[in-house]
Amino acid sequence: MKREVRISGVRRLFSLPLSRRSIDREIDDEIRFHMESRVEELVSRGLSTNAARAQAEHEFGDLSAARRDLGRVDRRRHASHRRGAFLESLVHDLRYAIRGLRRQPGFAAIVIFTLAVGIGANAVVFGLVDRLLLSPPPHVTEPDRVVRIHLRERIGDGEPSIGTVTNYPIFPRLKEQVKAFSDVSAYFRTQYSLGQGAEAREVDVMLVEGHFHQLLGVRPAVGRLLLPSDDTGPDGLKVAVLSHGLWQRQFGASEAVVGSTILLGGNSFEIVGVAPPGFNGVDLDNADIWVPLSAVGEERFGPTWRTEDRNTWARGIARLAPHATQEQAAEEGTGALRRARAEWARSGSDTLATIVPGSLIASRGPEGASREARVSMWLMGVSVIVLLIACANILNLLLSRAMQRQREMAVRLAVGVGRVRLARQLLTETLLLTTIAMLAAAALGHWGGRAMAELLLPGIPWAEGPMNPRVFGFTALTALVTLLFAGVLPAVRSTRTDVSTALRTSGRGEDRRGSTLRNFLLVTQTSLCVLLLVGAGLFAQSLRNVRELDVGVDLDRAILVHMNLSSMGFDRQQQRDMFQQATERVRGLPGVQSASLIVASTPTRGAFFGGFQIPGRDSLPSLPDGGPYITGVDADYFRTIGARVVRGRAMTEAEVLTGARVLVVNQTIADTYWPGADPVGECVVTDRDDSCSEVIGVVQNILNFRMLDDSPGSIYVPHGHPALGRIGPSALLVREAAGAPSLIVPIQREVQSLAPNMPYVNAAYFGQIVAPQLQAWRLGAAMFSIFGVVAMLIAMVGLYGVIAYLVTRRTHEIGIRMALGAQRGEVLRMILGQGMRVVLIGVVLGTAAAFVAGRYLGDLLYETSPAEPRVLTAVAVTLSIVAIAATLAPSLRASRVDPAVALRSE
Amino acid sequence: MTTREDNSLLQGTLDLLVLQALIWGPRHGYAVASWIRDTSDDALNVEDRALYLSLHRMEGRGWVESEWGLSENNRRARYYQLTPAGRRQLRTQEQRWERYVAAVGKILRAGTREVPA
Repeated sequence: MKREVRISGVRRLFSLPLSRRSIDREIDDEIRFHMESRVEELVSRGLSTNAARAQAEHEFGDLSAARRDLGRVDRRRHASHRRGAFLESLVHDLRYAIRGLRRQPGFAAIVIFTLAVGIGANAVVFGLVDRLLLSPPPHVTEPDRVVRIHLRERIGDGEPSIGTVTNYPIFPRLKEQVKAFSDVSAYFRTQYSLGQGAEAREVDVMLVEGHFHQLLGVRPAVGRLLLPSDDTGPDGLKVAVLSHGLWQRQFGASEAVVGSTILLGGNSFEIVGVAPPGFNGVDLDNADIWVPLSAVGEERFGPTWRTEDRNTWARGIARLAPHATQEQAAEEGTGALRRARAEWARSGSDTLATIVPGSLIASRGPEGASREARVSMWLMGVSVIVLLIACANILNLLLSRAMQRQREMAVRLAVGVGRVRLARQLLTETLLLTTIAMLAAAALGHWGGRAMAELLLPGIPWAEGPMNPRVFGFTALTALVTLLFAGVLPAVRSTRTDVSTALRTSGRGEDRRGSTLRNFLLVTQTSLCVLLLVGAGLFAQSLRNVRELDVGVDLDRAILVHMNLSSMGFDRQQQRDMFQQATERVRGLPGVQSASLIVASTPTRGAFFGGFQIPGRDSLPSLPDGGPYITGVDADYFRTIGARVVRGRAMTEAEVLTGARVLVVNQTIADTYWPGADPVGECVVTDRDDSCSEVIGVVQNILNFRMLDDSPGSIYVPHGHPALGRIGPSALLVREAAGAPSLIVPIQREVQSLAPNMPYVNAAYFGQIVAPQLQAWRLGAAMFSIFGVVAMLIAMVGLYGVIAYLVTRRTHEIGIRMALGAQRGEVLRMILGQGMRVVLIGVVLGTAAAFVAGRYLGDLLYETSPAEPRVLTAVAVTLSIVAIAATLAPSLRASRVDPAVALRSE
Repeated sequence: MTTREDNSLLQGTLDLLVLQALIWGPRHGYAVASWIRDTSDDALNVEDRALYLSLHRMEGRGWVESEWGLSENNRRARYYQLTPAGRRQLRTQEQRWERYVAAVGKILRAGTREVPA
């Protein structure tokens, strides 16, 4: 047999895929050849043509079935063949890409790090902002039908303001009278001790009406949630629902907890169920346990809590009735509110107050977004900037790389690699880089996001951590587009370059456009870094300013100690004795400078109203920020808390022992009632008393709940002063000696030892107590710093990469310069200068941009100018130093060029 | 001519015959059919249709590969050739076939001894 057929594996691989038509044609050809050959042979044996054809057809079998079956087999074969060929070349491209990246591990590492940080940070921050600002609370059914009830009213003589805290009795009325609400529920957040004695810890408890969970439409994770039947009658059932987080942390996520009892604030509660993961009610505050309001209402707010209209503590939510609008609800609600207020006829209460239903979504509520939320919004902008810097950096690196590879591309084109295939290889390389970077970003976003959320927003539970898959996808896509643009386009362009030119110039020719683009990107990166670092500096400065605010409390040394005696069955005198003993004991502890017993109002736990008259004046102007509040103090109080007595003196021990009729007023009272005059020596008559008490001093305004609020009026009287009536001790104040180790645990142990079965002793530095109020600035300072430093790292890596690349390109030129007599110092200065010029332009532009952007940041800062010169200078100096460091290594390398070697390398 | 039922072949057996037909080099389908017919003295009644199906299937499995070439009398014909995988396949199928025949033979011989005369 002749062997004219040559079948080669290579040709098969690259054979063009056959179309359906040509497959059928080949089969027909094959069968025809068979038939003709057979007929010929049979004829040659002596059969007639017709007989031969008939026999051949008989021997063959069903012709049309054969065509059909063969066609099917062949088409399947061709399809799998095509897939195989594609996979094969893909594997080849991947191998090639991996080899390329392994040759330049530094480049790959930089690209992956940069992208991972850019994308990961974005996904996390967008997730945070989404939860804080843009999304309704999780697990709420039809959240757009649930509203938070706000009141717009005038308090004192001020402008009408909007708030959510009001008295409780308004809520049953709203529920009854407002047809546009299908349900209304009040709630109150407070803290109780969980457990007893040394084991006890403080938890956040939500006191809610029984239908609270039903109103929201939340479903339990285990057992059941609260029901209206838990909350009926004068005393509700002592039942509790745990948050998912508390259940996991404290109860080992065991379903057996349902039915067991816990000790909450000294009372036994039966656990009936667990809330779903991530559910914390409708606010952004932590919530550990939900209990029916009526189970603790009387103990907490007094026997008349359901009807008492002068206590404002409750907040409320409502679900709109089907087809009802918020406007209808507002109108009906305002009607109900005004009828109620007319009935209560409370002096000074605003009869023109209105009810404003608002969205549960933080950014849409009538109060507007909180400071924390607004800072988060800025962070979102910041993380976009970081992503931009990252993309610019990668663009820059890839551009440099494409230039370097021009020669390689030319060589490959010259040996006959197709342009399409070359482009596909570059594409594969880019995709490989992106995939690795995405994996790194996902890991970073997952772990980093959890850490960030825990650190910065500790109150919010997360079902899945803050990283938002949608946002992750979006940012990943952005990055991919950038990479494709940066990685493939220049490469494709370089494949179009004239092969012989590229080979001749041996890749040394600098593309003018390329260098302009690179410089532009470097300037952009640097100025964005300046922007971020200035932001970090401004927030840090604000944080410091707030911390250093003189609120009359030494935040770092004053400790507030609170005892829970409610379940001890003490009478008034026993309670007093308990506090007295505790004070004595604590005073004796090493490291305690002084200790003081507080009666009535405390700076951060509760304020008691204590009015007074000034003989000879008919009426007193009302105080702009509320009060006066009354505090019973001893001789050590002001010294212990760290407040200055600005006029006169504090009370003496003798005055405290005798309950003398003397008092100290705060600055607000002095300024309001005796403007421009000295109140010391004046006579006032307090409530519950009919004789003169002498003003003996003026003390600076002392913290009242919030660091930044204007101070209400306060008066301070000795223990036993008639104005205190029967109000008992409320807390203990301790001042730590300078440099003493933390006193929290010793104090708790000492006080606990007085009564081992006391539920809980709470001791905390004022600094810890007010820390949540500083959260916004802390958040801003921390995040701007983190992002700023990351951005700086990324930009400086980029700067280093570009300068190093330039030095490599200019080695030849530098060689010539040095051969012609240039000194090493000159070369060093030349390269350094080239890098620094770009950085300095960036610093100037960035400073200008920060100046403009700072004006929008203004109201988020505290006593800090957006153009704070110290911050601007610090940032400019830092960046310049870092930039010099980044350019120094390549510059030194340039200055060490050996002219002989550089010139020979051609 | 023999009837179809008597000598119909199992699929695997036909593959074995076709692979064997290609052992001396590339052949077109008609040559394979003629070789089987002539070598077996027409004892095996193989439908040509089944033979072509076997060839195409084995090409799909990578045991044979095909290429168009010119026949002895200068006509366009599709030539098949064994691949290395096809060669291995031929060896395995051959061994399996021999074991099969041996086993069947053993049983038949054992049967003759035990059947009472």
